[in-house]
Amino acid sequence: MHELVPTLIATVFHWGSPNGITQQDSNVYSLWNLTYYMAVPLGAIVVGLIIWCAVRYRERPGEERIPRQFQYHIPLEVIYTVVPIAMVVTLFVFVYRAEDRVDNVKANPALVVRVDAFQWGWRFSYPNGYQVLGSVATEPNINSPNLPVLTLPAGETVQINLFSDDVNHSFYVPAFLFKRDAIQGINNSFDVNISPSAAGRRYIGECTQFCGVYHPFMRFWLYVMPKAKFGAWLASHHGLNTSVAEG
Amino acid sequence: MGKREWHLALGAAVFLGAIAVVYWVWSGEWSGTVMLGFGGLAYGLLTLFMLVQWIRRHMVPRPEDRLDADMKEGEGEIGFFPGNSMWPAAMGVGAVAIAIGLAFGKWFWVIGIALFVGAVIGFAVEAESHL
Amino acid sequence: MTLVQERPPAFEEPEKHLTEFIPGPKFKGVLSYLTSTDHKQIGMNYMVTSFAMFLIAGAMAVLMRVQLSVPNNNFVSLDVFAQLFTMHGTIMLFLFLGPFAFGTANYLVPIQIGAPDMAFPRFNAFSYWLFLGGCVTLLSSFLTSSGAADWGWFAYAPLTESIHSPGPGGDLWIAGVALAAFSSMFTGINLITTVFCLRAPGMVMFRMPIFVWNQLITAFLVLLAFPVLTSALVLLWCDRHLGTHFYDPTHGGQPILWQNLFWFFGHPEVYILALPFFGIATEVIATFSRKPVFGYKGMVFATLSIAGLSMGVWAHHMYTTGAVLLPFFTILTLLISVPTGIKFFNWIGTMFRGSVRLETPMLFALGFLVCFLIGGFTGIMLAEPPLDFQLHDTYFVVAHFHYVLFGGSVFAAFAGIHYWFPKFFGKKLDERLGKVTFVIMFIGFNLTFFPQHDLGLRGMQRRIAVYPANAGWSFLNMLSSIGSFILAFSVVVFLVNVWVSLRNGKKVGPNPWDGMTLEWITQSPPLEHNFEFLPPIRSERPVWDLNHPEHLTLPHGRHAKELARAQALAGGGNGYGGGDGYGAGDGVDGGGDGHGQAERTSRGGET
Repeated sequence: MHELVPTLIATVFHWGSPNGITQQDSNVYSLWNLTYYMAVPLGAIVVGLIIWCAVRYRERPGEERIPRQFQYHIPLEVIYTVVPIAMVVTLFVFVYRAEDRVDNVKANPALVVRVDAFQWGWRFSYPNGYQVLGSVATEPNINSPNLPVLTLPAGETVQINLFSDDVNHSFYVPAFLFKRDAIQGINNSFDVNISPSAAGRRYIGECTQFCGVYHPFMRFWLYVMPKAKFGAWLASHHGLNTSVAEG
Repeated sequence: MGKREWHLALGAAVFLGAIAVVYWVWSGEWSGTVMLGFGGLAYGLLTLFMLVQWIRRHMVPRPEDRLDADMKEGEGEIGFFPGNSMWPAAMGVGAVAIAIGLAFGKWFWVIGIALFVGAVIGFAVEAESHL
Repeated sequence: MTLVQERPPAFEEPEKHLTEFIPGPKFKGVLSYLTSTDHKQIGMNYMVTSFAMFLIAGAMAVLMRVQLSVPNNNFVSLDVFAQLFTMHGTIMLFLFLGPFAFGTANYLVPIQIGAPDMAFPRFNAFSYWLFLGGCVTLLSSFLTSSGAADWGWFAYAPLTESIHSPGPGGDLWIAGVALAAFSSMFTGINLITTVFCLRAPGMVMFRMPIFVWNQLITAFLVLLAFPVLTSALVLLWCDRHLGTHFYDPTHGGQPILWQNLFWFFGHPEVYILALPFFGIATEVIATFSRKPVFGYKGMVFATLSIAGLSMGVWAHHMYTTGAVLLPFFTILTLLISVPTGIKFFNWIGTMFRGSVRLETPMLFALGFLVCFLIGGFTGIMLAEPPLDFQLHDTYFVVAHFHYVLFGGSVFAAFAGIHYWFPKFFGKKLDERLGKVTFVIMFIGFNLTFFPQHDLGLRGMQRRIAVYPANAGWSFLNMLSSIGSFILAFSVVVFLVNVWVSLRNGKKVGPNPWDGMTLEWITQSPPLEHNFEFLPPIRSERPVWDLNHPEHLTLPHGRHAKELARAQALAGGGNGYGGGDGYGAGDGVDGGGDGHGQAERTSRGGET
């Protein structure tokens, strides 16, 4: 019960969105806040005006009247043309900055992981040749225990390169507040730098581009490992791992 | 054709052309540029046609382009408005037969094209015989 | 048969028939219906057929909501669910909203501009048969052994290649959509020609009702967008059957090409599905506020801006592909909110200090305003790539587009249905049932789609047939499903209203709402070839000017003083000099204040 109030407050401000776990997602947050806090008051004003007009100027049956037939007010029209343009341009400046930072890909990431999406599963390939492969085609089940696990270190820049074996898929980790499509013919790369406070936890990942009948089951786990342990972990894993998820 | 009409088409053509140029310079992406550019060209064609019509009328506005026109000025024959006609439905059947050939197989197009072309001929002849 | 149409003179009861018929074949019954080229019959055909499609696709939606009401459900199989969401989207967009808008255009545009019919009546009928053929083709795909197309309504390649989606369902989808596309293109040509060439004398472009302007601009968009769709479809069919590789990445094709082509069509398409309904809302709001449309010229320029900008924003549907120029599409998409905002302020300005009658059409128009506003704001959020990276392909997008398409266009469509029903059928829809329909629909709609915003923020992807129990999505999905049943019930109430009103409704005359545009001077329903007589057209609301000559639009701007002086000279402000801002020299009539009186036209105050 003592969680109810903080939950309600959180709900009103960013609703059910997960708290992001990367450095990049602070840009998403600030942009959401800017847009949301511009939209809600503006929306309230416009809806208020609409309701006010409907109530205040309401004509009750039997009280017919013909109001003053004005049609223009050029100064007012100019204001509500120019002010929105100014608001939009301002918003665009913030968007451009945020998008630049979210999309930025470093020249020397600490780790590069290759992700291949296919109907209907994922293959994660690490630089030392270790591969994790998980597919739901053999046991299609929303609660499948065979979901592949993508293990990533916290506190370092990880670059993910996305590929597709067949149709279009999309790599989405809700906790990243980010997704990118895997499309044949397009080499997509993005960086994440996961916060150390997320270490030791696992987060769900999904495919968000409809890719055929088992699309809903095409999920994976993201496991965040503390930076210190990651090197040893990677060194001790070789070859192809198709078995049950760890962690 | 009046003045405002070719203004509209010109506006569309110029706008699309300008956006196509900006898009090409900024992105260098082919498909968008071609689609925008061709859209601009298409409306450019329409503009030319309407401009020619306007000039041919010696730039005199028609009654429907004049603020003070009376109904009397519009009296007389407006146009050919055919009443009931079976040819649109016949053309519809032909067109659907052609479309279904996309799924059933190209052999179906023999039937579809025959029906459709026959109906188009009927449609055109109907207009001919009433001019 | 040919006819020679005479334009009826103003204010004189015609002594002879206005139309001279040259004898030709006359049909009765079903044949008459199959061969009609009357724009009113064709418009009604479109509206009824498209509404039937709305009911069918709506039933599919209810089935999907049943499946999603609880986690791990197996009410329908995965593949059937995929067919349902594909066909629900395809039917709603291609076979309901667009054709319904064209139906209203067919019926009302000629009347509102004072024309006897559309420019090409037989071609118009052909457009309808193409549309009906498209409906039958698309629905028949459910009867094939592999079922209907199941690749989503935007049919991304390479999922649509024959190797991934073999079977006739997909080809029937291509065929059906192509038929509907051609139907739309031909209607667009007809509309533009009609508006450019068949207006009555005095009906200059800037005196056309906003409804007609919106339909005209929509037709401009149709001509730009649909050919791109049909081209893309042809390339897809060739990939599937002729061994080409346009979209096939395994042989050098580009899947992203399909997305570019499709969305170049797809984005203007959603404005094609919105602008006519904005026009309906404008008419309803003006009539039910008893005032002229506020900022008429601003409305026209705003609609033109929306249409123009909408051609340049297609790749905002593709932000997550990593293959588009993000800032270009961001700025243009954000800019569309400016003319849309102008329209909102103009709608409010129309109601402001008006005399607002809260009858059913107006209630639906108010519902439209509120819901479209919300949909517009979520659109601004999605226009920003960093936010879109989180929210793309989640239920947030589903919520957004249902708010703009249902909360926007469908609510406005219901406003239009209740508004023009007496004109089409000579009887009003029952007012109490109408209000009940509105309240239940508003509640059901919001309960269905508002929770979906949060579902998207929580990470629920779209197009999934099942979701797990531990994702935290169950409660909101259940709420949404309950909402959908309430929404479905409201449609049933509406259908009952139609049935009851057609049988026992109160008969009405030509102008039950004190409407302002030319359709309100015709009979209910209008006669063949529409008009017995036409009033002089001196503003965008000729019927209002005729019925309320003491309450013409107030002159404004730099000519206001001149016109006011001229009206005073002509004897007390009852002239037809309404300020439409079109420039100097508006004729001021003396004494044109009633039916049956000869009209005298004068310029600048002389008599």
